Amino acid sequence: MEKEFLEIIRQNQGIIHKVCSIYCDSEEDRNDLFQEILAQLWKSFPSFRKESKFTTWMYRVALNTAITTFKKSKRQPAGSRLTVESFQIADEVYDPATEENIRLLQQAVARLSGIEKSIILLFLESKSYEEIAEITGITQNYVRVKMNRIKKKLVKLMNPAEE
Amino acid sequence: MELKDLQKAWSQFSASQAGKKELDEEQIRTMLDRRTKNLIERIDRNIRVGFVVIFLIILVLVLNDFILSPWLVEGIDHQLRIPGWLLVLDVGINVLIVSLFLLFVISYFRVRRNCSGTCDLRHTLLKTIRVLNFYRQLFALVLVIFLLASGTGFLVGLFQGIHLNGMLPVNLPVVIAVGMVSLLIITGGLFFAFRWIFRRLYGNYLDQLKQTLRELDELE
Repeated sequence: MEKEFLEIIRQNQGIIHKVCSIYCDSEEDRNDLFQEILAQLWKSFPSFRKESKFTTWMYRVALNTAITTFKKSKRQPAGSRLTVESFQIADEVYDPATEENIRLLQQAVARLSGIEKSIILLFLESKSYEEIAEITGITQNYVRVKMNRIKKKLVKLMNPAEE
Repeated sequence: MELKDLQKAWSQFSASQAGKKELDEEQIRTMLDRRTKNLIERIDRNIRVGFVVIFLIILVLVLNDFILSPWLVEGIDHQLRIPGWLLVLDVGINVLIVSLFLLFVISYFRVRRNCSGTCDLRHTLLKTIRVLNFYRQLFALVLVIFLLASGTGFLVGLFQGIHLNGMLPVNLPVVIAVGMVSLLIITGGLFFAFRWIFRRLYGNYLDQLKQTLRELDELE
């Protein structure tokens, strides 16, 4: 079972990296959360009954862990530890406009609540409302309403001059 | 800026991040091996240890009440007979303590069994909040046991004092009142001290979990 788990996690580890990127603003926190999600996945793996896709199950465990994990209190306010490296993308896809968009997105996302972060992450991953509802365990109607609110909130946060 | 631009930027960013940090199976295994217990797992361990400690305390209390105390009293004064009402009170308090303890243990394991890591967010939040609340209540349970056991111990001791030392009956109401008030002050002080420590350690975390649950319930 361990071999199967390690292989499947290796193939889908991008999901954990994405969740960590959305929920943490420092490298240290990202590493801690990565480890914690990995441990929860391993603990819950025997209960994975293949009724849903593995990635759906993985998103669910990862997001539940990210939202409920105890974070040690920080001296700096949330979002203040974002560094230049946080926004850098690989050279081959480097584009100043994209990097600026990423910077704005991360700064805006840092000000969202835990649930809002999970919904926006799944939206950015082009998941349908149905999939978002399945992963988060909330109704599609709720996802729709929440998504509209988050979109408005994000646009406002990213374009403060328009207010 | 449009949200479509964000989706495009995000997909480039996440692909780049995933590429930079990709781990092989050995690194994943090492990460799993090196991991320490998280807060809820540590609290779960503490609660289980707490159960064992409380069980031992109850065992000592019961053994003291029904074996050790009668044997000691017998050694001091053959004539001394504990009145029936005090025995009934003692047995009743012990039954109450054991019942409270069992109820607490059963409720806790029902909460633990209720939901695994694969539950939906609401159930995961509820479970985490309940585990934290159980941890807080465990201290309250210890205090209730302390109060009940000390209260009956005080009354039994008082009765023995009256019988052996011939304490004046005129002082009795004052002695009982002072004893009970002292016990309540000690227990109350400990209760508020525990509550304060708990809030300092986990208050913000608990509030944050409750806030998330409220947000989830907002439109449901």
